[in-house]
Amino acid sequence: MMRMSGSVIKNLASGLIPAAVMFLAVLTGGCGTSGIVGSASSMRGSGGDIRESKVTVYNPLLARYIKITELKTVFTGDLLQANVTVFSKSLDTLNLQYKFRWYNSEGMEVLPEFSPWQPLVLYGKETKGIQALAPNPEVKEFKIEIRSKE
Amino acid sequence: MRRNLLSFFVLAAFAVFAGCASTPVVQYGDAQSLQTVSTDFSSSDLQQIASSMVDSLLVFPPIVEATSQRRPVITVDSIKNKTMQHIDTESITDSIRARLIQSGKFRFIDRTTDEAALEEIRTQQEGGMTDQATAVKSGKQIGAEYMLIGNISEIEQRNARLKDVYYKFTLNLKNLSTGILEWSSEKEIRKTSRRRTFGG
Repeated sequence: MMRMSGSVIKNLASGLIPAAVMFLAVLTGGCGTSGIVGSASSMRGSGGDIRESKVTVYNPLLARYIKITELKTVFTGDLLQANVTVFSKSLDTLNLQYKFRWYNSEGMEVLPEFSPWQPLVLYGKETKGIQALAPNPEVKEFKIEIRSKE
Repeated sequence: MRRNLLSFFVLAAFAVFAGCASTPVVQYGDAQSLQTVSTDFSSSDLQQIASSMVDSLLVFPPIVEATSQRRPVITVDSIKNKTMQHIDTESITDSIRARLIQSGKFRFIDRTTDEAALEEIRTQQEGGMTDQATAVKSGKQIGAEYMLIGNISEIEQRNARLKDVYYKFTLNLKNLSTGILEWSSEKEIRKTSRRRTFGG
């Protein structure tokens, strides 16, 4: 009896452990708020050319569904305007959110309270442009963060 | 070894579920996060409207030109709330005004504080306590060149399982001397809520 119950526990355990690992992975994966960050900077007088642009993937799962295809900066008057193009690799509609962060030439974040998270709906295989204007002329660099819903 | 692992996972799962228990836990949230609690007008809608309006105004070519050498003065009229909800429209215009002032492109006058300002000026001039060399002189205020006017409306549709609310915020910049609307923009927001099949 004892031996039987021991083997039952062993069988149960061998089935339960991978299930529990998967369960915990799904739980923590589902709660992840990290996303994909694109950044670009531009200097006045360089004709709005991007001095540097970079995409960093913090969430590989999200990167399977979307791609930042373009990061551009132009100056409107003396305000930096960010233009980002996003492409959905998915066939389904994606409900995402994005947020811009603005930085001055010293790399300090400028007026973070004026950049809320905003909704981004991407239909299957859609390419969408996202624009935003820097809150003041001090801004020389921007970052866009895209993540799935909280 | 296996038993230890099993107990670990049972404990871990218990800890996870215990975290979801109904004991109220108060914590600070991100004021910039997207609110999807209901289809009612939310803080996220207010922030989206303010950002969208300010971006649209500041990239409009005639406005870029008008603000390239000077900072024109604007006054804000109240926003008409045509929705069925109570919306603090002054809060929307406050956010728009704060963003426009921070951009360094516009200056504002605020008629809502005129009474208190007038009282202070009178006290300075007639109270006998203020050095008249430093007392504020009347009649020196700068007149507004533009006025911001707008309205917010909603269209709501629903059936047994779905509620769809469409908000439209319109803002205009009126030139007070010519009466011309120099700029106009809209921000549309659509929110839907679906009743779940189970536990709805």
